[in-house]
Amino acid sequence: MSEPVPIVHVVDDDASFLVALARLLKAAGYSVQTYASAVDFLAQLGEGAGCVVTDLRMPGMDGLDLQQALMRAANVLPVVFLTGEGDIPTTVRAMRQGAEDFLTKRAPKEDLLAAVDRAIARDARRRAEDARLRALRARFVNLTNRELVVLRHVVQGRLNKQIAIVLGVSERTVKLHRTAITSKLGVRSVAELTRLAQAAGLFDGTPDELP
Amino acid sequence: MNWMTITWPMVAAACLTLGLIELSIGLSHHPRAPRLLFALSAFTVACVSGLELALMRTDVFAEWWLFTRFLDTAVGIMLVTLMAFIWVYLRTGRKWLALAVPCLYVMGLAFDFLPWAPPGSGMTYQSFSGFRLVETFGGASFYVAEGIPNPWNVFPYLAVLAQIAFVADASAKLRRSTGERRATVVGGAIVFFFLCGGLQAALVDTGVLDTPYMISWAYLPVLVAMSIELNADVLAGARLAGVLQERERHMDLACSAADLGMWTWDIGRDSIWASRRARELFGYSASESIDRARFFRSVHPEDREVTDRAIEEMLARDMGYEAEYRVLLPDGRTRWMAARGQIERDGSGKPKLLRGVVLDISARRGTELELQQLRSQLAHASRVSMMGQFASALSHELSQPLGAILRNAEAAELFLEHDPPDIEEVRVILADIRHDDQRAGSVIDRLRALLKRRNFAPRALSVSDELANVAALARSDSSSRKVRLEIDAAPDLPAVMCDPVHLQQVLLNLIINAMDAAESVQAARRRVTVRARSRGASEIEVAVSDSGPGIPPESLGRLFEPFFSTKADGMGIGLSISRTLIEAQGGRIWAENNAGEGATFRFTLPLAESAKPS
Repeated sequence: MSEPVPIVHVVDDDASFLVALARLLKAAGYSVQTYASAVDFLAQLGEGAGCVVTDLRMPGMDGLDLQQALMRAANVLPVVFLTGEGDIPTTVRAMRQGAEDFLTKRAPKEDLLAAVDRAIARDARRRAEDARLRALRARFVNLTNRELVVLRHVVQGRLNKQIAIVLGVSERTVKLHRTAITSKLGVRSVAELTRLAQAAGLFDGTPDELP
Repeated sequence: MNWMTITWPMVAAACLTLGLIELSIGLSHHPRAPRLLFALSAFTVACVSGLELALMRTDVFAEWWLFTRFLDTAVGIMLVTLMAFIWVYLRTGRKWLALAVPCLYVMGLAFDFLPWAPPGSGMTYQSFSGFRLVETFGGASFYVAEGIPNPWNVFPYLAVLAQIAFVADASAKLRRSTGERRATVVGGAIVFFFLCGGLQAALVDTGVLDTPYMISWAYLPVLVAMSIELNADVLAGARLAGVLQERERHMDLACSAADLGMWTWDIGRDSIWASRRARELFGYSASESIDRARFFRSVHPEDREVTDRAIEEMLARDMGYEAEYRVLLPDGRTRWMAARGQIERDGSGKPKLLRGVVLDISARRGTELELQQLRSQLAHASRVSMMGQFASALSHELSQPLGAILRNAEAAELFLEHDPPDIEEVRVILADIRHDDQRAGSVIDRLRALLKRRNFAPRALSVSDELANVAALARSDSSSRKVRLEIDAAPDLPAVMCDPVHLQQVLLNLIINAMDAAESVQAARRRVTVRARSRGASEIEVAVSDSGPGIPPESLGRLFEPFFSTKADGMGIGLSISRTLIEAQGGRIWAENNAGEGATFRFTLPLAESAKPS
């Protein structure tokens, strides 16, 4: 599978502005797809990389609605908002929801393209991060459930003896598990193992309760 | 000198006086014939009277013979002129009777002038025998002639009888045809005195009565009766003239009190008579002759068309003339005038006269103008504040085309940097730029029209067009507030008479209010509908309905009062100004709650004259 080209999704109810903006982005070298409404865009949302450039004020579903819907979707593309005039409450709300940028419709071209670039870059970063995590997590897939339990204790810095007592097995069995884990993951030290598990976010959000 | 020598001349003098009076009137007034004939009869009666006096005082045969023949002739002329007078005056006599009178009399008179007859042998006597002195009361005495009566003397009496028959017949006919009692009285009096005169003469002729001839005595009352009859019209006319003068004085007083100028336009001859005041008002000199063209030259050029139309309409239809226009005075000032008039037509229905009054209404117009200016200023202030309310929607409306223009221009720059430059793409872009520029321009035009300070200028316009204009302005505000805005104007609505900006202002005000109301319910149910329909044959009704919570019943009656508002941040200006604007155009505005949800504001506007069914 070749590296997918990021697509700039432009959403605006004003056909004339939609065409003009798409034209500029294409001339600047982007792949562009246009939508006359937020509903159209969400219906065609795929997996691909890119970003969304949308008008804030549209009949029916407006820009903020689109952003909220996007956050619940699988492909959380960054959003660049365009507006006739930025009023403070709307801007604040959009930024809180994680708007990449907030530009007026007549912002300088450089600012607009920079914002699109930033959004695409952020999307790319997110995707790279996702890929890395996925790859890391893939390495842990070969571990058995018992090995994962042992790994958890190891990452939390427990000694073999403690682990053996908690699990009700012999210290030797724990050692065998540890050897299997390090060889499967290809790490040499406990420190390295801990770093790897943390990077994969393996035990995030599961606070440890020690007896 | 005795009573006889006094009374006969008195009779003659009375006759002469009557005759002179009628002669002088007859010479200067139409119709001449009756009065001149009357004067001639009166003079003859005076002659008759004089001759009677002469006859009673002479005992010389030659004198007697001369006077007798003069008297007979004078009586003849008297009879004929009186008959002619009655013929001309009453116009109802029979011709053959009228002709019989002179014929019969001439046959009798002929005996007086037969060349072969001896002197003294005439109409009355075959032969003269002598004079007799008769003593009478008061110590007076007179001569009477004696002789053998002429049997042919019957002719003059037949002539008198024919005359009596003629008068009686003519006055009876007049009575029948006009029912005038006067005719009988006057006719009866004439007949009576004719009879008396004839009878007395006959008795003297035949020697039965020892008196002088008293024909003139009998004819004096006849003359008086006829003179009264003749002058009844003059007297009535004089009385009427007095009444008329009094009326005219009243009219003058009324006109000067009301400061009215009077005028009459003779349409056929195209000449206008104007009273002194009317000439003053228009700045015409007292002697200047005025016609339609002159009048139009003094009307302000802007008002000429309206005034001309008022005149044409008045001529074409049977309606009063009403116009208000400015007049250009010779010193360059203008003056507002109101004219009212009534048309007068001839028998065939063709316009003949236009009579009317003019009034200087500059003062009233000045106040009206001031009021109108104040209203315009207030309306303008309210418009500006209303536009402020949806400034953000409007800036969005403007930034769309402006943004598109900018992006297109930037794209074009990039296409030109390509090698080779993509000219075809740039061409397409330029067309788009032009289109967006026009879009932005039309938003600005609409805004400018609404924000401009201007005077009240009603004209015939289409409600649908103005609705479309307003909808274009309100559309982006409605979409950002998630209110569905529906415009529903019936096709082929007739034109209304209205100031376009004021109509837009009222529509915007009602639509913004409706959207405010609709916004307080959940987004899916927010709806504002504007409907325009014909209402009867003379007006159009526009209804703005919302799906909001409706108007609290206690507020319904006060909505259009100034400074009354149901909104927390409302000033209470919009609706009161809307009412002022609509009422200034001759319409009404009111509000009601809907049966289901929300409220409806309605207003009416009168149709333009051109759109009314004729």
